[in-house]
Amino acid sequence: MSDGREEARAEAVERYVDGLLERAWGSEDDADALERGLEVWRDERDGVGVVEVALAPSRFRRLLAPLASAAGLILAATVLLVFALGPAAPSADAALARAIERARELAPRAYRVVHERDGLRPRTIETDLFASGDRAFAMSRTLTVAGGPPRTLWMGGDDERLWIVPPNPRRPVLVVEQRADASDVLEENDMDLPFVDAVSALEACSEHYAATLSDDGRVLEGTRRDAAPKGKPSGFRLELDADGRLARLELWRDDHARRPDWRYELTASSEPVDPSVFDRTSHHAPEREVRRR
Amino acid sequence: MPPSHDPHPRDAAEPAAHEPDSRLFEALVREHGPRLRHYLGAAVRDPLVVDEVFQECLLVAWRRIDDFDPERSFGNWLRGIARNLILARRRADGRRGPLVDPLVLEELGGLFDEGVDREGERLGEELDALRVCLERLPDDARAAVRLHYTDGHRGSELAERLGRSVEATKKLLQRVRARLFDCMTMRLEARETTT
Repeated sequence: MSDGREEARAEAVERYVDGLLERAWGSEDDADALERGLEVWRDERDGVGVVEVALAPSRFRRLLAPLASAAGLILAATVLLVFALGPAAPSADAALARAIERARELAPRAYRVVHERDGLRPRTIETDLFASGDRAFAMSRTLTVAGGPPRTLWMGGDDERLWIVPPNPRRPVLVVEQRADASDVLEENDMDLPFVDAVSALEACSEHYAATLSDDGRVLEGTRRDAAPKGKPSGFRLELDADGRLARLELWRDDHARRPDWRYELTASSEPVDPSVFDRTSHHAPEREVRRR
Repeated sequence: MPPSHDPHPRDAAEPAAHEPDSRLFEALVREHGPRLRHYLGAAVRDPLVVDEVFQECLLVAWRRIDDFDPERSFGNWLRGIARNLILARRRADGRRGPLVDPLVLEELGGLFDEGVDREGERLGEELDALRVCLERLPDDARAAVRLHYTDGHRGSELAERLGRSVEATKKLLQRVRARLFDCMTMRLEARETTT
């Protein structure tokens, strides 16, 4: 056996026995870690995160697909038509189209996100979403594992890239150019983050739904059409403010036979937004390594 | 979160052609998880990274469960996944990643593959053997183990309590672990030949 091999063997033996001693006499507790691991696995099995799949692709996927969707073009045309025809009673489609256009405006806005999931492991995720139209967004999630300190992950993006600040301060800040890579990083960090921006959530309501508008023009309610693709939300309720902006949007799936059912709620906040929230450098120590992936 | 680049995202709403058995998977994880964590702890040391890779390993195993050959040991299969994840992290994170030499990882694999036919019981058997071997240690060696592992003394504090230099204390613990390993190996081999 070569010296290198012998040294490797000795170190392996050292580590192996050390691990056993930690279990026999030390503080190593596999039971808690096993339960945490199984909980993450159950979430995967039960489909936590299906809300992102069910809703329309995020605006930030424009990095990959710069072409506007047919639905977007139809909605834009509807808005123009409504404006051209004057102040007639707005239709549900026109009200929705206007809400999408308002959401695209570049003024920074904050939203409260609540994602409730039914199924074998009911779970509620609450977080804040900050968005500047469909150009930039940021959101965070803090988790506290039993016995450990709170761990916060920040994530954001703009037209060019997405960035992720992992909760482990020893890990580098990651900058990626594709949303799929961001999803991988979230998975690696055991983070379920419903990063659906306001525009995408509204656009999700624009197809496959029979929608009605209340008499005061402030509440839209939609029910999924029978011919809609499987997995789309069952319905939505959109409340608008006096300017036609999203005040509160609720999407849900309650097919019962399908698991898991879920509810996604986006509520606009009147709190002012610090524009630096969209800058990844505001969420990590200056000396922390930044790596492109 | 289901990866959005998956052309066929797994939606729990869609009936799967072949639905893996969740209860069996969970039972297997409960049986083999502690030994997988022992392997990960030996390989990467950092408890945070151990937890992360452990969880990642379960997710990968679940997604690839159809690749698992029931004729093989589930624990051995899990360690193969864990090994690949560790090496991938090492490549991705460079020097900041898990500090394990691939040669050491290979040797660890060999150690953990001992008794692969009895994976489910192996950790319990190892701990039983270790406890017997601990009782047979000289008093000073056993005291060093107790101070280090039970009382949590490290470095110069441990050395001071043992009345030795830091380097001598480190060497003592290395010798103790090597001795415990030899003792355990003999006991485990004897057990295998008599059962």
